[in-house]
Amino acid sequence: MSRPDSVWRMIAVLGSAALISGVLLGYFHDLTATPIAQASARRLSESLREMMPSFSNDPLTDAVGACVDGDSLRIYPCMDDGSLVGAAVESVSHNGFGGDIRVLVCFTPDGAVAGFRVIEHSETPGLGAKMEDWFSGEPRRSAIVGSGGGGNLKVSADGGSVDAITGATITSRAFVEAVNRACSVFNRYRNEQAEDYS
Amino acid sequence: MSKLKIILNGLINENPTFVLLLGMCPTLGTTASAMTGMSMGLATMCVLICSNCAVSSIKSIVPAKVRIPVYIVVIATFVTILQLVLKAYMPALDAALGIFIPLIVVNCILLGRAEAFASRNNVVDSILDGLGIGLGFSMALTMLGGLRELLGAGTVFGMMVYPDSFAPLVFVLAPGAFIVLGMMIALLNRIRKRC
Amino acid sequence: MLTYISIVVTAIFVNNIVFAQFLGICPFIGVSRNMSSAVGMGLAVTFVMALSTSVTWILQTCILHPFGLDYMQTIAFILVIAALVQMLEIVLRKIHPVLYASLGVYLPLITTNCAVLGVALITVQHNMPFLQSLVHAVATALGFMMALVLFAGIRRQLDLVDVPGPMRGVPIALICAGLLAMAFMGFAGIKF
Repeated sequence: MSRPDSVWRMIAVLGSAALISGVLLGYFHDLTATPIAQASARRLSESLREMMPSFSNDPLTDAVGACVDGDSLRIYPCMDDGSLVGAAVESVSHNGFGGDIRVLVCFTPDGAVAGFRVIEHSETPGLGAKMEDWFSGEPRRSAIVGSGGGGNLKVSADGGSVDAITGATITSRAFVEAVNRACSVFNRYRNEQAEDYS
Repeated sequence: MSKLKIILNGLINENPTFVLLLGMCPTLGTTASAMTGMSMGLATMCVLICSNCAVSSIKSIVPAKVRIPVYIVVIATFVTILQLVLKAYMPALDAALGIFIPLIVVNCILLGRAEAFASRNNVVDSILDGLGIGLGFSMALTMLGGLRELLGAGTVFGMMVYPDSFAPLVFVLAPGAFIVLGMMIALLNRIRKRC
Repeated sequence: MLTYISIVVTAIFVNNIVFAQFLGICPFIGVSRNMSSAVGMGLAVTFVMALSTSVTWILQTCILHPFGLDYMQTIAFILVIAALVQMLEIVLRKIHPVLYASLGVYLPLITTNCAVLGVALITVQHNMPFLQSLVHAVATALGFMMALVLFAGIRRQLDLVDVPGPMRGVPIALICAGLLAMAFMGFAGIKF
């Protein structure tokens, strides 16, 4: 170790740096693993608590997956004393202007839309990005909420009853598509449940 | 250099964004609003202070030939710790800043300061330098974010200043980032030439 | 086949790494003055990006993910990139000394190019299969090179024009980049 730049010294320093770094990171990973897992679950349960009537189960653990067109959507059933009081479906549309749009759609037990929340999107700020506020305002909201479980909502440009955002037709279409997919998935789930009980 | 001078140096004379022109990627990518800009600046400052401190502490045992890889390991470790902490306790911020958090690793500011300052000065001075440069970076990002948000959305830190139907949307989009930054650097060039 | 065309068009035009995703700005402002060095830098970045995305994809799929070490992505990827750039330097010095000399100090700077690490992380986040991620990386690098070459041409013209004092150099370059970004916004929404 007479020359400060000898190969062994370099390897030793680099090796110990890597080792210390690995230990530190492992420690912090263990420290933060549970809070990280809880963070995403908390957001979902908060949304559910706001939009659904009171329920006594844990929708996250009772969640069911459903496949449609190659995507797997998740259904979160809300029960009170064993009977279904509603459910939320996490739906996705790949036809957004900037990518995927994820919407959480809440249903009443007979299949009508009770509410919705946009979970994730990459739409243009000021245009498509304000879709949650736009569709929550009247008369768009009445066109969506309370609609039957047919799952065939359309924007007015396509002959339907939902007004699209001016200048953001693609985003609006994708949003409506996500809601429609949620409807069809929930209806299938409802029919399966009815068959199970009959 | 006196302690206060070190901090002021990072804030004004060697401001990383306007003078040194380092760290442009997060400067343009996270300044769509004042809040994200400020958060990004403060996050970078935390990593900078930690990495400057660490590099300064080990500067005498690291052979010159491997110093860059060792600095990268140090910086990457602190960035990953920051990532984990943000994901656990501030998930909304983590989602807003997105990919730019791990990209703090390749922010030229950190490696540049480790090489130019921390490897030649003692620990206390390095920490203060990290603080000064970090504050300078945060200030620049907040100003840029605030200006872009004000012009493009009519709000500052979320508070409405004027209705957004009057706001030219371009300022919160990609071209606006380049243009506003270019204008700000030009303005500062003008001010500095005067004094 | 259509998927690959879609990936290439999206990576080069719609989501151009410089004008839409803000990655790779530092060399973009610093290097582009000379057309030939812009092309050289672009090719070097293409090579590093393709190689590093492949290696990091394999690293993620075979080692990091199965062992639950996803949080080590940042540090593992940057070390891979640094090692690859070092190897590229050594190889280039032996095989093509002229190119090595012309690239000069910019070669080691590819390590701190946000675009290279950015593409590696994005690829892994989107869970793309191997071939698609390779095509995506090469296409992104070509988009980067295109941006560099476009900008080199513009800057050469800027040098010949009378620019007001405070705007000379970086400010006017940034404003031109902004106008280019605006032009590239025209590609948004193209889908196959």
